[in-house]
Amino acid sequence: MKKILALLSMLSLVLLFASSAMAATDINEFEQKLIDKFTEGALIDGETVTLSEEEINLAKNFFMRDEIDLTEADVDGLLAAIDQIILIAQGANAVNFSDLTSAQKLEVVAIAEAAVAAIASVELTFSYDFDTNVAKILDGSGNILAETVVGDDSTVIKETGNDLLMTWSVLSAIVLLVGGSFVVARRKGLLDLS
Amino acid sequence: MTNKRRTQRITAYIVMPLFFSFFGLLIMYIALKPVVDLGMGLSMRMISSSSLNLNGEISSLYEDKDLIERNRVPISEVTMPYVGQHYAKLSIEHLDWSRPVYWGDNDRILLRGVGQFAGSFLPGFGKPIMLSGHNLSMFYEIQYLQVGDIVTIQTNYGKYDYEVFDYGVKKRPYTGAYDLSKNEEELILYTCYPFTILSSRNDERYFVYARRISGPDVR
Repeated sequence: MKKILALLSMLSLVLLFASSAMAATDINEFEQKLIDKFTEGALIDGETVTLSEEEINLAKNFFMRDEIDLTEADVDGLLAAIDQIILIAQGANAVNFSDLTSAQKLEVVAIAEAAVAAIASVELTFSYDFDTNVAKILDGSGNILAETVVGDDSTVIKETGNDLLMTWSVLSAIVLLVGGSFVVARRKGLLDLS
Repeated sequence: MTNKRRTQRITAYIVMPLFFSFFGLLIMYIALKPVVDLGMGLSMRMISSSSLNLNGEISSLYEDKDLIERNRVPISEVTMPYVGQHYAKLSIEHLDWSRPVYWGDNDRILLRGVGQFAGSFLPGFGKPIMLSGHNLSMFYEIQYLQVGDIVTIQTNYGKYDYEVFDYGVKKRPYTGAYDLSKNEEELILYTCYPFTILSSRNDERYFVYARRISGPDVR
């Protein structure tokens, strides 16, 4: 459920972004209501599910990038969308996004997309990739305003070890060295396969 | 040529050379590991520092310029970067080392430079800052940081110094390794551990912790 709320926290960004001049601003009282909602969470299957501190920070950062302050009406609409999603999660006893059925996931994503479409003053796109579980909000120029992985495990610590390029480079070098030695040896007549 | 003889020749001239080559290389690697790791790290940094335009999402708003020293910066002067946008420079003066810092820390960003977890905060906000980089390229040098060393983050609105007070290896699930709810501007650097190419494991990270000692507050 907390990951569903993470998706909805992304919706709040839709209502906040106004122009390409992304000067930071303070969080206003209406935006604070959303943060309070994320902190309060929801009761799902006997468990109070909230966003993690990191996810709330993500929302705060994007509230601060807003040039146009979120209005009370904007927040009320977003809270209504959050409540819709909570109902879906409660009906399915789904604490995590992965606990939902495919149809329910599609419904949750559709709610998010509808919230984006309802914003008339700015051009924004909400996207969710079902293969990578990455949710994004982009502005009209394709800039990514927010990006998060909606998964069951914590996504704070990333993979920062050997990347594929270097690993394959090393393995390729070894194969080339061995293969090349074989070819050279054969050409010089050191190997007789006949 | 009989099949037996052909098999013997294949074994003698292909299988055995490959077998001994593999173990020979392995023994050489073990013996020359420090040199190999350094070489791979340098190669990786060369690859990373080249102009790899992996996608259109990577851009920059950072300007490398001299800044006026101030105690406070109005929040309106701070431009929130997009995901994938270069917004700061991370440097360690006594190592003559610097790296670009990008907002966000997805795989594409980490190939390009140092990534900042977007669930942490920008410098000057009095809250934790979490940065990550690949262990053999961007963050190879952080293993040499000691208590008392200074790490600097320069943005377009301020220059921030952080003094290292702790470092160490943490294991997955990294309980207690970080606290992003703190009301304290703590700089957290992390990368995969150990700092080798063929023995890096995914369940350990090397963390360095530093606290802010200078730089303007964002109000």
